[in-house]
Amino acid sequence: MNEWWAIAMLISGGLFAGGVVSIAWERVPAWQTTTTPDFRIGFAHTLRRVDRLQPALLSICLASTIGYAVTATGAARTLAGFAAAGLLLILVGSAAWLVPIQRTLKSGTELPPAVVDGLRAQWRRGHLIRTVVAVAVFVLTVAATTV
Amino acid sequence: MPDALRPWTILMLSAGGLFTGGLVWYAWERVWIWRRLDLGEFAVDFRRSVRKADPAMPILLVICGAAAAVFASLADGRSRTLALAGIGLLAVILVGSIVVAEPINSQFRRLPEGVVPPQAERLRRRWRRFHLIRTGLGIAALACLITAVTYAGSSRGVA
Repeated sequence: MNEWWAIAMLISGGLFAGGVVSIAWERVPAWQTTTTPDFRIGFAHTLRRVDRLQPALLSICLASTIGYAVTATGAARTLAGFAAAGLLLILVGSAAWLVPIQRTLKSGTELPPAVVDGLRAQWRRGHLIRTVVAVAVFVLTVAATTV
Repeated sequence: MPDALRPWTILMLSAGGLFTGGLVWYAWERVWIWRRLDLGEFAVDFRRSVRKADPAMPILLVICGAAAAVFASLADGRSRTLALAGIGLLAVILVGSIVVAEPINSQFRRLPEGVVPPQAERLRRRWRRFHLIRTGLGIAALACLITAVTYAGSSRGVA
């Protein structure tokens, strides 16, 4: 039973972490150099796709990490517990901080360029923090399966 | 799990997870968007994207493959077999990327930004098809390596 939780946790965790790293590595620099209207169009396109996959992977990873922590013992349980807390932090942080920014940028309402640039910088900051936490959590889940 | 396997496992799965996550992200997000762009817009975006991804993705692939090779040499039984299967799939991705994807990438990369190479539509279609196959192989390789680790962590890994 424990092995199945481990497999689900590592596959979904790897795909989730790889996804947020790819956005940070490839999309964020590309959006930095685009004009404000082009950024809003490109951002909305990316969200349309990513908003379906990334929350699903995060939820699967969180559920399987909790399942793994419950069925494991000792250091493996502790590491998986920390990883689950990190995933919960990403979930709550994304919902409270980044999703409202995404909704504003995605909406068709007219916004002054200075406001869009401010939101773009805020989203970038939030996403980079999320990326660091996601990679750290993924390494924790891998470490949990090796002890 | 034996102590000797631990660092190689962490390196192999960390690099492998990020690599496969990157492949899936491209297949799910960029490929879908590139299909909807006209060739001029596609040429600009593809060229920029390849320039960012080219150093990072092969590095992750090689780190994962090298760590998996050490893991396989130290493991035994089903764990070793699964690690070798994962390495084989990673090798197919590496060779396929050099033979199929890299010539397409370089056709876009060597031209100035905004210039569309001849037969761009055919190149786009070929790259997309190859990337989707590569993504499937990447997921299979990651699954093999993860399963190898779960066997190494239990007595079932012993031959």
